[in-house]
Amino acid sequence: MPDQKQSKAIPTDEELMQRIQRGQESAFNALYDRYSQRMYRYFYRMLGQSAEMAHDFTQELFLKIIEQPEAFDTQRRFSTWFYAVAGNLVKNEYRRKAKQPLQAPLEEANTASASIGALPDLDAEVRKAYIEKAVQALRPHHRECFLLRYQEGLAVQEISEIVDCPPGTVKSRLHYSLKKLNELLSCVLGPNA
Amino acid sequence: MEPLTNHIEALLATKDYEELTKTERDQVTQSCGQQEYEQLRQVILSGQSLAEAPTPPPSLKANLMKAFRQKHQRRNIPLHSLTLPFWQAAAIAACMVLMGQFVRFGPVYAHPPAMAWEANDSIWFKKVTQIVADTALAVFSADDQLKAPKDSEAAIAVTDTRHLPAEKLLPQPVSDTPGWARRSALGTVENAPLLLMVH
Repeated sequence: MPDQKQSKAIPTDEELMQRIQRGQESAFNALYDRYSQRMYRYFYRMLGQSAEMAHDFTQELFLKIIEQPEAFDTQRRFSTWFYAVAGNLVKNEYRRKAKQPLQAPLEEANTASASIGALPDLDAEVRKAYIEKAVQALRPHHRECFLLRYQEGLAVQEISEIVDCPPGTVKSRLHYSLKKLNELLSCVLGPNA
Repeated sequence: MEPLTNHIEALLATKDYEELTKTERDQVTQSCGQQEYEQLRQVILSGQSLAEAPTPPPSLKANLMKAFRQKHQRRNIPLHSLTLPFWQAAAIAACMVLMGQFVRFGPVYAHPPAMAWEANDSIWFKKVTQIVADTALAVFSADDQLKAPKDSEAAIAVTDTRHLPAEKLLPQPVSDTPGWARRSALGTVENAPLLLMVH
C-alpha cells in the first residue's frame, strides 16, 4: 500500500509536461532533475566527449520545452519524444559540420587496443578512458543505439521509435556495435586484461 | 558471430552467465557459447559503466529556471496592469447590467397570461385612468383654472374601490418605492400600452 501511495504521488513525465504547458515552474524543475543528467551524458558521448557542447546542447534541448511546451503531445511517451528531439539536434550538428569528425578512426582505436593490451595491469581510469574511446570509435548510428540500449536502458522498441527505424534495424545496429566493441575491447576486458 | 536473438540480447543486458538458469544456459550455448556470452556481457557492462559520469554544471539549471520564469511571467499578466479602451469598459458594464436585469426579471415574455389577467383587473384600470385624469388636469388647468372639472372626470377621480371584488385586487405598491420596484410590482413596462389598448 505505501508503494502504491508513493507511485500515485510521483507524477509521470507526461503529467509533468502537462503542468509545464500550464506554466508550472515546479514541474519543470522536477523534469529537469529527472532528465538533465541523462541528456547531458547522451550529448557528451554523441558529440565527441565535449563538455562544452554537451552543456550547450542540453541547454538548447530544455529551452525547446520552455519555448514550445505544446510541441509535445501529452498522449505520447515523453522519454521517446525527448530522446528523438535530442537525436535530431545531434544529427543537425553532424550535418552542420558536413562530416563526422566526432568518429575517431577505427585504426587509431585498434592501435590503441594493441598498445593498451600490452599493459599488464590496467588502471581503472585508463580502462574507462579506453572504453570511452572505443565507444567513440563506433559509427554514430551504432553508437546512438548502443548508448540508448545499454547506457540508458531503453527497450529496443522504444529505441526504434526514437531513431525512427524498424526494430530489426536497431537489433542489427546493436549486434554490430557489440561485435565491434568486443573486438576493440577484447584485450582490455578479456581474461588477459 | 551469429546475430543474437531477442531473448539472448535481453539476457545479456541483465544477467551474468553465472546468474542464468539451466534452461537459459542451454539457450546461450545453442546461440553463442559461454565464452562469447561472457565477453559480450563485459562489453555491455562497460557501456553501462559509462552512465556514471559526467554531470551537468549547476549553472545550467539556474539559467534554465531563469528562462522558464521569464517566459511564463509574460503569460501571467497581473489584472491591475490591464488597461481597456472606454468603449470596451462601457460594453462590459452594459452586458453586466443586462445580465442583472435578466436575472432579476427573467425573459420579457416569460409570463404572457399575466397580461390578460391584469387587463381585467379593475384596480389596474382605475390606476391608469387616475394617472391619465391627473395628468390631463395638470396640463389643462392653466387654461381652465376657473373651469370646474366635468362630472365624468370627477367621477373617475373619485371612483370608490371599496366595492370592487377583493379577489381581483393586486397588492398595492407603496407610493414611495423607487420606479423599478413599482414596475416590478405592477408588471413589466411593456404591459402598460397593451393594457390601455385592451380597455
